[in-house]
Amino acid sequence: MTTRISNSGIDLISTTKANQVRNFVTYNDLNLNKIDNLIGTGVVSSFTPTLSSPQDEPPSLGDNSIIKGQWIRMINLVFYWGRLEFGDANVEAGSGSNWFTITLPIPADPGLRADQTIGEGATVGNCAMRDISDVNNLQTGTVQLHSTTTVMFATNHSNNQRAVRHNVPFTWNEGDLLAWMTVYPGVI
Amino acid sequence: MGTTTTPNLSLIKPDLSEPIPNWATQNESNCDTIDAFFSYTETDYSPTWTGTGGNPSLGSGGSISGRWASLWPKLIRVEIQIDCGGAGFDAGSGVYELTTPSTMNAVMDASESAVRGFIIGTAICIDINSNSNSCTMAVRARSSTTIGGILELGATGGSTWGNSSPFSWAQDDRISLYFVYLEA
Repeated sequence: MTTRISNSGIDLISTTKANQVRNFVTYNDLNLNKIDNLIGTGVVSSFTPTLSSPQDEPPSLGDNSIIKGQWIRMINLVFYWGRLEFGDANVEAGSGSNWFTITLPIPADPGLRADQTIGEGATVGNCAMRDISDVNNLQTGTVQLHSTTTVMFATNHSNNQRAVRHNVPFTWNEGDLLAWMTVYPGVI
Repeated sequence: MGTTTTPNLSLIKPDLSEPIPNWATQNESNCDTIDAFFSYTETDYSPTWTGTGGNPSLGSGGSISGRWASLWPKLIRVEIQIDCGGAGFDAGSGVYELTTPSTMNAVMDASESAVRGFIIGTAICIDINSNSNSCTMAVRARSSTTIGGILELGATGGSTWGNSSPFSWAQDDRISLYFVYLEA
């Protein structure tokens, strides 16, 4: 007889007196391995995000571009850092009125408010952008949950809060940069 | 063989040949190890504030205070407050940096080039003489042991945090910031 404790999200196995010592050892071993994996890793994982622009002509990072992420999970709280750098040729900023989105390494808890309208979704981090062709063109902003698997970016551009897209806060081109940090409850 | 250990936390796992009386001791040790990861202890430290062209120095009554805590293995949260102080404050020159309490993991992509390092936190800069100058700032990984800032200044464009950005730092100005990074 065993029962499972699932509220913790770890799915630990509890034992009863009916169990033999052999079973106890086995389950104890499994439980400790799960705890070790969940807590002890301090595992820093790499993740390659995808840049997109739903429903519009998507952007293309071009040749020799960089897009990368790192994340760590504290039980169900996900810390995720990422950045991208457009390449040096064949860059496409995309088109249309829809915003840039970036994928998450772990889906966000569905209880969080996700929305495709700026200001309507949960704010889960902050970001910075740089137009490499203009030394003065640095921008900062916030990160908003766009869906359970994607985030979008909001920036104060010319004193107007705007969603980052192909021409906001500047027209994205070779070498331009975007970096972000998010913290959100994820699905285990 | 009576026990093996888990690869990350070295939790003790008895096998069938381990005497049962030892289990209580091993279980207690495991519990203490696990418990420690759920504790939260703030530790004071003294960040060093530098400028690439000359270091700022605090004026009368000024202070720099830092506190950090390990949220999880390798995950460090830091908060820093600076009060520039009064008479004698010198803003120094160039791009500002503050030291971290420990070395960042290389995966944070620290870079002196703005936005080529990860964004790791946020800050508010207070011009004590002009509310309209006060603004928020993104905190960035600038080197493995220092952080810097990135400012957005509306239509006029942004800059990195420095002696004249987002305003000319002067007596009694303040900054408060936090950041989270992966430790080496």
